[in-house]
This record gives sequence, C-alpha cells and structure tokens, in this order.
Amino acid sequence: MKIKVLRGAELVSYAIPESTGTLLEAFDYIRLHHDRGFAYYSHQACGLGMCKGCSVRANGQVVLACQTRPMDGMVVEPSIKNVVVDLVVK
Amino acid sequence: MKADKYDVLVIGGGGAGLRAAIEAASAGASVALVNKGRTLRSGATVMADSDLTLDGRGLRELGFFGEPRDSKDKFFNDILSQGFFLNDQPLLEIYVNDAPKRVGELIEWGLPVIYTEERAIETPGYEIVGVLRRVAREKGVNIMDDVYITDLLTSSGTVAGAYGIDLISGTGMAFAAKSVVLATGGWQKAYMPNAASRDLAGDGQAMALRAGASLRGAEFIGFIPTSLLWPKRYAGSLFTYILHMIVGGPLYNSKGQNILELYDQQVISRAVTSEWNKSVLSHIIFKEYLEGRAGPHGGVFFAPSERAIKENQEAFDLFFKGWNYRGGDLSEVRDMILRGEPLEVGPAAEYMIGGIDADERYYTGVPGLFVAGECAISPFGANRVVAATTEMLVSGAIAGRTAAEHAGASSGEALPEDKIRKAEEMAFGALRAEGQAAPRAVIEELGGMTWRHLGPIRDAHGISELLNYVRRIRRDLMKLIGVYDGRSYYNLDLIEAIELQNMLDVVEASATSALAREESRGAHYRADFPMMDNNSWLKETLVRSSPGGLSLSFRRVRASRIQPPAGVYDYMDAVKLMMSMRSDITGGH
Repeated sequence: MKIKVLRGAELVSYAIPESTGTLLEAFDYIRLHHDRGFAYYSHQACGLGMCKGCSVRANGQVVLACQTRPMDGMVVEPSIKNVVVDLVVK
Repeated sequence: MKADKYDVLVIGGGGAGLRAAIEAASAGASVALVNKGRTLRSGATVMADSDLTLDGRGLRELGFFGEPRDSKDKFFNDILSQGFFLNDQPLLEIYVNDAPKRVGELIEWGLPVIYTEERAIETPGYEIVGVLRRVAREKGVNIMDDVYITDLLTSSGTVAGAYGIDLISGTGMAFAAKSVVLATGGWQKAYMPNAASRDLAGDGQAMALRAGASLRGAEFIGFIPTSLLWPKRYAGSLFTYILHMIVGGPLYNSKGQNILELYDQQVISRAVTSEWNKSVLSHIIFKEYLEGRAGPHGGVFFAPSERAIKENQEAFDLFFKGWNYRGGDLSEVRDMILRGEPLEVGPAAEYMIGGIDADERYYTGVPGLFVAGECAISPFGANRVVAATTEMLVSGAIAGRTAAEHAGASSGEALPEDKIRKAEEMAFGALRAEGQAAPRAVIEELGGMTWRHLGPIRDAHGISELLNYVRRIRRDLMKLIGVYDGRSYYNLDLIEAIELQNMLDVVEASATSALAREESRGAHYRADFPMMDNNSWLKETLVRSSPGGLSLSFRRVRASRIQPPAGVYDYMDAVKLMMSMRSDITGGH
C-alpha cells in the first residue's frame, strides 16, 4: 500500500508493506527503506499509546501514530503548524 | 563555547531526576534538569503501572489500607530473601526506612491513589511524574526538554559539567555544574523485545564508565515473563502479564504441554501470584525457547477465555476498561481472545537491577558525580520484587541532597575548552560515518543477540559469542554504519548512532559481569553453573573502564544486618528456600 506524507511543502508518496500494523511502524519502514533523513517525533516513543508523544494528523484527524492503522492513500501531516522538520513539531 | 552554569545539573526527566532536582533546589542550589525527551512524554516512569511499595504499617500510618502485622523488619527481610541475599543491605535499609517519607510527601503534593494493598499503592507512573514536575517547577528547577546529553565533561578527574545536543535546533550545548546527577534509567533498548520506551539506551551508564565510575551487579536484568510478543505493534506490552496475574491459567509450549505443570507446584503457585513471576516464569519460559519448544516469536501460549475475564471484570476494568490500556487500543488482541486464538507471550527486558556503583549518599566515587534511580545500583540484590518507583524517590532525594551539599562546598571547575571540543566531536562525529547500515538496523540485531545470549538463561559459550559480536561491531562501527548527514537537528540516525555506541559499551560491561558470575542466582541463571553458591558467590561484580579494556573486580556483599544462609543449592531449591524465608505477610510483594 502507499501513504502520503507531508514533508515541508511537498506531499510525498511512499510504498509500505501490507502487513504494517501502525503508522509508527510505517514511519520506521520509510526511514529504513526510503529516506534515512525522514523525521517523526519518536526518539522517546513508547509505541503503546501511553506517552502520547507521536501525534500526527492522518486524513485530517489528530491521532497517535502508534495507535493508528495505515490505510492505502492515507495522508499524513504534522499535528500542528509549528513544524521543526517533516512530522516533528515544537 | 559559552556554557550555562548551575550548581547542580540533573540528567534525566523521569521520577528519579525530578525528585533529585526538587531536593537539590530545596537545599538552595541552582538546578537545571535536562531531559532527552519531553517531560511527561518520555522516560521509564511514565510507562510504569506503578505500585509504590512500603511496609504495610507505614502505609496505614499514611491513612490507607495496609497490612497491620507488617513492619519495616519484615519488609527488609522479604526484599532481602527474595533478592537471594545479594542485596546491598545498607542501601536496602535506606529504602525501607525512607519509603514512607517519600511516598507520604508525594501524596501530600497531590498524587492520586487508585487503590492500596498489603504493601503497595497503585497509581499510574505518569501521575507521579506530573506531580514531581509541578513541584520541581515551583522550586525553580530549569527543565530543558529534548536535550540529549552525550558526555560528561571532566577536569582533572572531577566532573565539571556535561555536553549535549539540543535536538530541536541541532546545536551543541555545554553545561558547567559543580555537581551532576545521572538519572537516565536503564538500557532496555539493547534488548528486543523490551518493555520500555525508545529513549532508554544506557546513556548514563556509558557516560559514567567513561568518566571513571564502575557498574555494579550489571549481570542482573529483570524481565517481564509474559509480555505480549505478537502482533508486532504490541511487542513488549504488559497487557498479558497483568491479565495472567488476574485470570491465571496454563501456559502452553509448542508441544501443547502446560509448562506450569512441569515444576514444583508450591513454587509455581507462589510464582504466578506475586512478583516472583519475574524471575521464575521468565526462567521456565526461556527454557522452552532454548530447548526448541517455543512459538514462532520465542514465547509460549496463553489463552485467556472470555468467561475468565468476565468472572474477573472488576480487576480487568481497573487496568483495561473498554479494552484500552492507558491509551493503547487493545481491540486487535480482544478479537484474538474472542476468536479463541492463543496469545504468544514471553520475556521482555524490563528493569536493570544492577547499575552505576554508589555509596549510601548516592555518590559514585568520581568527584562531582552522583546517581539516582534505575541507572544507579539498586537495593534489590539478584531479583527485584518491590517497586522501582519507590526506589527512584528514595535515591533521587538523597542524590539531590548530596549533590547540593557538594556544590555548596565546591568552587566549581572551569570547563576546559579541549574537553568541550572532544565532546562535540564525539556527539557529531557519527555524521561522517562511512558505512551503509542504518544504526537502527544494528540496534535491532544487537537486541536479538542480547535477548538470546544475555537473557534469563545464559552460558559461557553464548555470552562469549555476544562479547565477540559487540567488540567486532564497535571496532569498525564507523565503517559499518552510515548516518544521514543532511542536518544536525532532529536527526534520528544521529541519535541512534550515539545510542548504539553507548549500548555497545554497556552490553559489554553487563556481559563481562555475567560471564564472571559462575553460579545461578535470581535473575541470573547460568546453564553451565546451575547452582546458587553461597559459599563462594556472596559477592558483587564491579566493572570499570581501564586502558586495556574493561577491568573486573569483586566485592563481598555488605550483609550489615542479616547473615545469608551458607551452602550450595540447586537453582529451584534456592528459589524454594528463599520463598520459605519470607515473613507471614501475604500479597504480591
């Protein structure tokens, strides 16, 4: 499947495996296999919905990346406008 | 480079760091706390399903239900016997004595209490961090988030500050401090699976080793025995661990045998209903893995029925109401349970029982350097059965006080420019790595090696293989890994490259200790030395850096109050003996 990620001004499409369980797994995959510079706030992530640190906007809704199943065509953006880089916000 | 100057610099924003910062600020010190992540969103404490432990009588004196027949002496005895008598008794005495004060003040500061039992208060860890952060701010602690401290700065053998990267701006930062408190938690990230967040990479232990401190008891690593291993998104979750304690039931290996029936039933019945599960169940589940009777992800199978959950609905709802665990959606695993699909469960690295060596004032022996919480040596000996969240408060308060006193008596060392430049080179050097592999990929590989060879069951062959692997990887690390070099701010490759270097150092130290301890005790079981040997091994391992590599030494355990029983025991007989030495106080702790 493919998801689209807003990076700066550009919406970039990435192929990820069908079996990807969460957006956080998808981001890890994109970083390892497509672009090692891809940034999402995750260096302290718990991955289990507890730390609330991985907020992003998926198809317009603010969600936790580790708690959201990716869907084909899903559009992922930063959760707020104050962007540091890619999906990382201040 | 201009450095921010403080009396006390605390590194780490979980419960231990915050408690240390509060104490140091209360003593009049100027205090900065730097946190690798965002406070309340990072570190070990926020994930803890904490049961703050203290003796039952102390609990009653705070106005809660607690076991009235309990006493500090019984509490001491039980932590010691369940720690297989390897506990540092002076530190344990401090834990037992200070626990009611530390827990009591936290409740005074507004900590909500969900319920209490014989010796424990149940409350989510994020509530603890929330209260501590508020108090720290009120005391004037300068909390700085998203600053990754990469090394301590020393001046003629004295710790004089620290260097780090502001992850959001990408700039280097130097801090000058008369005292530094390390409160960086564990190094669970070096294990796959683990039960911790991604920031716990042994940064503090590695920095302490480089500054000349020792690691003590680094071979003792606690595992959550029945963490969920699959689906991947839940790997390391405590859901199944807590659920098994609530509903019980068999644990099947891949041959369909209930492994709980293969052992002494007295041991098993105690093990499944108390914190004894961490050592005993981790041991017997890992044995199934080693002997080829595990599931596809290395675990065994737990099949909780819908009926059993309904029969325990009240307890279930306390943790998992609406199939939600503290914000984590459990619907996928609910569907598996409703379909009657068994869940694969197994050991995930949870808690580092050993840590940076320190005395009763949580002073490391390196001038200016103090430690608190999980990164410090614990009072739990070979097996932890009481709360680390209480320990972090106890050691945090002492370390904060000692650090402030030291700062008050010190004029402060100037930060040598060459040391700052060296730290800067170390922090950003990985940007020039020449290889291909993603640091994260190497971390995952290391995690598999560590789980396999430094898990609940070890032997000389496996540990040596791990040591060879670690030394080989580290020797040519910058030729092996490649690091994205497009920017220095929020660069995950760079963060993980630094973490990887720290983890390699700490894994080597832990494996060196595990190889040296030729016996079995608590969380450390050597398949090639399966006896607990109280005649020869009532001593702790100490590892420190030396010019030729790590140097190892031993120190006789400090048995200041209760003498351990002599003799040599089969591991399971030792477990049984330790269980029998427990007081009459019931409950999980």
